[in-house]
Amino acid sequence: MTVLEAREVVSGYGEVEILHEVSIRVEEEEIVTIIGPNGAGKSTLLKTVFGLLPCKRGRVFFDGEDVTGQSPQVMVGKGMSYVPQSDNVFPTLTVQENLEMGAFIRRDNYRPKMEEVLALFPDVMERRHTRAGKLSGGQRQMLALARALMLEPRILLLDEPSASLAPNMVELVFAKILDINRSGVAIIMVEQNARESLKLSHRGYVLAMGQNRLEGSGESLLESEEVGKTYLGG
Amino acid sequence: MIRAIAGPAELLNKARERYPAVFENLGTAALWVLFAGLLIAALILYTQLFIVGVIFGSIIALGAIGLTLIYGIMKFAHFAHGDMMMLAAYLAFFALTGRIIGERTEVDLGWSLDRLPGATTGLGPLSFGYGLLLAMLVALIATVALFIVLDHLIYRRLRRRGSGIVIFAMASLGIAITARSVILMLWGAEPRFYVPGIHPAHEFPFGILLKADQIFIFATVAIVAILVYFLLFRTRIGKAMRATSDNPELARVSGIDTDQVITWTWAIGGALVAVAGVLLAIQAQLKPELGFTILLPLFAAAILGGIGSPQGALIGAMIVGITQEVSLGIELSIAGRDILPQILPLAPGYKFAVAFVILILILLVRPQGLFGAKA
Repeated sequence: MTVLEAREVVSGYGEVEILHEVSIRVEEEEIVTIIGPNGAGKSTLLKTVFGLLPCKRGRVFFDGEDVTGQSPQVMVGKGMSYVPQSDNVFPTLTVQENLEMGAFIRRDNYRPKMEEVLALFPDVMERRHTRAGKLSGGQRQMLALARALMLEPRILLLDEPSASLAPNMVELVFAKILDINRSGVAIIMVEQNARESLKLSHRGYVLAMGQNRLEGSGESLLESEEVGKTYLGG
Repeated sequence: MIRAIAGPAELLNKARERYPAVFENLGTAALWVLFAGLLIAALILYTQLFIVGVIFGSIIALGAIGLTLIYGIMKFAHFAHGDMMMLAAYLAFFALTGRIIGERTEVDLGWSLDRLPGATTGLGPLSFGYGLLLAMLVALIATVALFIVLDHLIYRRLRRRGSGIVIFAMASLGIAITARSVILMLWGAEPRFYVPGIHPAHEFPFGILLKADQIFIFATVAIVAILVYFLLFRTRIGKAMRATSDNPELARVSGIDTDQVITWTWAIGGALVAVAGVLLAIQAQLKPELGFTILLPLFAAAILGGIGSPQGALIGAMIVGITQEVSLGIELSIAGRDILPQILPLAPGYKFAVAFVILILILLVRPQGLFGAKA
């Protein structure tokens, strides 16, 4: 069953149109990666789907329901969580408070979920009363993922989760993404680190100049000559 | 020869480029040492003025905490803060006396809080009775309501339109001027008092003279500050306010209802403004232009502490309050002649200029304030 679908979405910043009719879909329990050169509109696509940018034309469906133009708050309530590329934690709040903010709209007892999420990230758990601003880059990324999981989303939207991380942290973050996916959460991510992310993805899309360029399984994209030349560095 | 002179400056510049963190921290440390030294010296040399400064600082603190919260969450300088303090003080006056006594208007409601039995009998050693406490509560409710209404009428529309911070600041300046004019129109330019007359001071150890009202002011501020701390660090909405102040975009993305957060911020800001205004009028008097005069110390305190940081505003307000009071008493004499009046004529009227000097100093050395994160 399709969790998320964007159909011929047109969007951009103000008058500037960046996406020209882009279509993607994510099936249940899938990992989907979007790659493409800088300025292809990858992040714009995630922001539009999540309601952070207005969708000028085209439609967005979540679980078959038309959610085009809904606010992020509504999206979060429906089961979509988004992790921005940078500034994705509240620096002066403690680790635990960051997670509480992730659960802001939950009216039930979120404590059990918090313990469960913390257990998934042992080094963040050790520092639950530390201000998030004092964490290392990798730990912040873990906390950002943890925050996004607090509402038990059906799908996670990740904007460059491995950006500006040390190589060993990149591996760890991807391993966590795989863990999260195995617990039943679909994932769509935008990545510069194309090779690593395609390796663990079920499917992938290549965007260029705000349009769909290629689409296929993770493996087939890795083997494709065009992808290899243009995005994987030979 | 020229090389020798240029040498150290060059070296300093190079070192500054290479170790920016060290220089940053040295500047901050120097600032802390300066303020701590000044405060300790003031406490020893001018104990009486120091204590009065603490009282005045605690009133500034209430205003500055509200100012810094509003800035943190809505990112604009709320210029109406001081005048709203005064408006709240006059609203309490109205609730207490039931009287509007302007140049052209003369209204007496015929019913007011001071006509309740025993409402004006001084509570213990205090100059005022429970009537003023009730009046403060009425002013508090009215100010909270006014702040929320103003947000819906003005600021919310500006937000929806995506206006820049300058537009917000100008709108608040307009509200400030309106508030002052309303006060002038309804209650006139003459100073007014909740309880007229001279209130005697009591003597405490170390020769400190304090009025009972001043101790009441300090105690009230202490209680309110603890309540604000509890709200910000222990309640769901308070944490959401801190989160929104940290990163509004991420707050929205996390599903935090930022409209609700903003309404709460105005409510808390309004409550603090009302209490601060009434306390200021108890300590000083009710005077239309006092609201604008107090604005500078409010901003100096908020910026000194690091704009957006409530703890910083509290400490900044104490430093500003104490420095202002103590600066009035400084005497410097050489060979038995008092030289300070010639070079530094610090008449009481210059008191608020001290806040301005602090403001300039902090903006030069550490613009993010003592507790502020680096922008």
